[in-house]
Amino acid sequence: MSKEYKHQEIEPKWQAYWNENKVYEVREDASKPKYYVLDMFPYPSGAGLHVGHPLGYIATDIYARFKTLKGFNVLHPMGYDAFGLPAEQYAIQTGQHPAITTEKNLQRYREQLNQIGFCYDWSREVRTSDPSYYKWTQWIFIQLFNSWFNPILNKAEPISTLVHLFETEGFKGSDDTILTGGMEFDFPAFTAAQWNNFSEANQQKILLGFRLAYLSEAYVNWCPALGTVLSNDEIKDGVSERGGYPVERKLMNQWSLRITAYADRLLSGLDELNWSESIKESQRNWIGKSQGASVLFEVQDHKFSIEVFTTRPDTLFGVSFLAIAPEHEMLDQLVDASHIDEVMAYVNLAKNRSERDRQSDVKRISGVFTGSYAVHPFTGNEVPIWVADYVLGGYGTGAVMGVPAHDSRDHAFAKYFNLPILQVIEGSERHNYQESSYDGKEGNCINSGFLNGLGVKKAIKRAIQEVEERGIGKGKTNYRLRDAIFGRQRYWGEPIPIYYKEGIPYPVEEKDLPVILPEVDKFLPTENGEPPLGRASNWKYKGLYDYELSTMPGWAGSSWYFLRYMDNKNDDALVSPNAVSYWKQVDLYMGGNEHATGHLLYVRFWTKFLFDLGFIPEVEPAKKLINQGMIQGRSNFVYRIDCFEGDKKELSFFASRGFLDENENIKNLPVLFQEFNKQNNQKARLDFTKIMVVKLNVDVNIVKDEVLNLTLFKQWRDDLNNALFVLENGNYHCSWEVEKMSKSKWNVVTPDDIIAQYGADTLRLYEMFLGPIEQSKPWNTQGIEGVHRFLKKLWKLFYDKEGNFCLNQEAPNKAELKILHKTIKKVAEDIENFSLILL
Amino acid sequence: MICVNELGELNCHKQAILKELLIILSPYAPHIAEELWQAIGETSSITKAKFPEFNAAYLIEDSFSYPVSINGKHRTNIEFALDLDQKEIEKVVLADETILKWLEGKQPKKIVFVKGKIINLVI
Repeated sequence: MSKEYKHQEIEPKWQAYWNENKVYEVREDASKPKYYVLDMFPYPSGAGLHVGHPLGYIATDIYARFKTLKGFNVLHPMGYDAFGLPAEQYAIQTGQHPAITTEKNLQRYREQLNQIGFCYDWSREVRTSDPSYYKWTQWIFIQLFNSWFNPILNKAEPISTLVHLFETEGFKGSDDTILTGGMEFDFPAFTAAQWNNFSEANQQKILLGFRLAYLSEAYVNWCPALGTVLSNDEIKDGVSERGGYPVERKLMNQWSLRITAYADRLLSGLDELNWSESIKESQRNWIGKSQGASVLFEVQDHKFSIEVFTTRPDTLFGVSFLAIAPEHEMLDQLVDASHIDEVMAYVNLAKNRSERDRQSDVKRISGVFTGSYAVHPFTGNEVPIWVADYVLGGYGTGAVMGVPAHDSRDHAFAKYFNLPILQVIEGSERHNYQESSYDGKEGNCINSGFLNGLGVKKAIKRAIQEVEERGIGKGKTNYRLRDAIFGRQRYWGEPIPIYYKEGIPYPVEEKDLPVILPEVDKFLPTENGEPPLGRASNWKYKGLYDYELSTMPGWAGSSWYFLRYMDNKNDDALVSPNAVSYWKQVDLYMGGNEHATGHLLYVRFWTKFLFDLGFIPEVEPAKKLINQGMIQGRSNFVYRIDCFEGDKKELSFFASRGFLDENENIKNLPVLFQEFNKQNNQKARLDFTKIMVVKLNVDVNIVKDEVLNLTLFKQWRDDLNNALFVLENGNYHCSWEVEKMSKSKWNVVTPDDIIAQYGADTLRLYEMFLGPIEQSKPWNTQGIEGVHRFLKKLWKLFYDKEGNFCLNQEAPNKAELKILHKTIKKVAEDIENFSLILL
Repeated sequence: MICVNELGELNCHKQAILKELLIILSPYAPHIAEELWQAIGETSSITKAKFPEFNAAYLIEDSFSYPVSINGKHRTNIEFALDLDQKEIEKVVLADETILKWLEGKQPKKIVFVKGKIINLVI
């Protein structure tokens, strides 16, 4: 039978064969070494996959197949991060249930993924929105609720161990280092006897202060347009990442996870990971460990002190003001009556700026004097107290000491408000302190009483010793990391498995999980501002108790999914000990670096927590992480020349690229009009009042090699049916730019198009051929023919010109063996090094 | 890709070579690899195959193109099998046209031979 290379025939055939024969299904097999290759699972959006999405998937697929051929038992699963905002917003607009939208999108994803020929074990698929999956997300939340972080053992323990301590030893308050290990809780001391006499409500309130999932009143980023709170990593440049809506600060009763308890372990664990240095550095910065001291400044004429946190206690003598956050709890008490209006106006303004915005916007200086003074603990001098929004309420103590000579931010503040700049460190070079601060740590203390002459490092120690001796402060470690706000006022998420009895939150019993997401009439908040779940009728636990109405954030389901793939059908445990002791952790994880401080931090947190409770054997989710680059779109543009007579557009036509100069202005107007008239048989004159050039994105699918297909262009949109052109040598040349691949830029290329034309094997080879996996690069198809020809050549080694199978059984000669073995060596080495361009 | 080109040039259609090549290629292009694999007559999926073992022995050259010098000056290159005996090599060198021309009828006093490296005639 005569045969040619027809990818259209062979690809679906083998995809069906692999599927029917369950070729990619794997089981635990102690006789083989295991290897776990994981892609970050996608959120199935309505737009489907474009050619950029499979880049990482193809790379891991090549790796997984290679490892299998090398004798490993490879786990390579895929699933969907199926809860999310777009489906909910679509539901709000159309009334279509998000589950239906999600299911539809998911089918489309599956079709597209199947076409590319991935070796996923689909029998292990997970969907975070499936009750059989989120049952275990809820179960983990309950474990968090039922646990506290024992700072002495540096690990999570069941809350019962804490209750036992309270029952036998009581609690000595935040000075109780045995119990708090330096962690701070705002609870007064109590004895064991007192504890035992506390009401249930009081006991539960105290325990909430220790639980790893807890309810508290906290400032949150509230987005009125989306009707929900957002986490810091969901906000970009002061507006919501999704939709770009304004975000304000609001005090709300909120579920949070105590990720800060793990700050130190999340930090130190990074050293062991084979992850890119840039991701590790982002996490280090995000965790933001700093060592220093907290120091108390007494407030003049008041009976209280303000506690500041500083990393530079050596510069205490250089303090010329204190700055407190607009949210500072003492603010109401210390503000002087004559300043109250001004201060309140400022506080209201500051509330509408997000934390990130306040911290990152260093150019905008703002603040207001409270009218009160603190007393310098060493000099006894008066120190004015200001409110400034560059100080964050939740960071450290919500108050800083201003040392303008040695901190650039304080310097800018002091210059702006004309506050004294006191030099207390002498560096090796002369420095103009009116111009700028000297933030360096090289130098000795001057003008600093008992610190004079000491180098910075020694002075820090000495200052801490002094404040500790005087009982006005102590050495302290601070983290920038905040507890993670966990409740969302949305519909399409996991219900938080909590019910309320007399106002006290209790976890739903394990046997009653999952708490199924109830049906609602509308996907909007209720009239009295409750989250959408408030609309569910007769939705009560045991028919009696109100459920918590907020749902979990988008990152909940993705914080442990790598474990579920190991044992996705288990109804009795999130993963069986048997499965998890075999697959252990991900060996190779691939995904975008945009998840550096979101998903990749949360998944490490949950992994450590589950390890602490003894459910899993590893403390980190993934040994090696590779961040694939992005495939950018290559947009094409056309230039519309609009000619106006007054306000009225009289004439409009499209001019080929060559009629415009480098700055995209018309090169030569008379020449352009001459050509226009000639080519279109018109008699347009040049006497318009205004001529404008409008640059428009054009669908890249109707442009080939920068030349526009005029027929398709005219059909592209109704308003273009009668479009007029000025061509160059009979062609309309477009310009191009590299931009993000997106629908709105008309530069989306789908894998479907490429597969229809060249086949999946060509697509796979070609995506790798575009360049190193970690690099971002624009999509272009210039080399794709060459890759496709390569496969045809391969075919011809097996089939002769007439299409007859032409292999023979002759023994190979040395030259042939040399070529083969050179290739074996090269390909194996390249794949191991993730250099996936097939040469 | 280089490999496919090279095998094409050699007009190689030997199953023993091409079967291994398919396995190497299958992670990248699994469909065509599976198609050709089963066309050979294999009955189970190529995904169940074993990645070929690399054998360094095949990369070792069995002949060498010796630079031949006269009094240290390079005059020509002559290819010899690496296991060829020195006497045989000397015979061929002394009969080589280029060498004969440069010897101008003189007999070399000494022939330096370093296996796999050089041949030098001292006159």
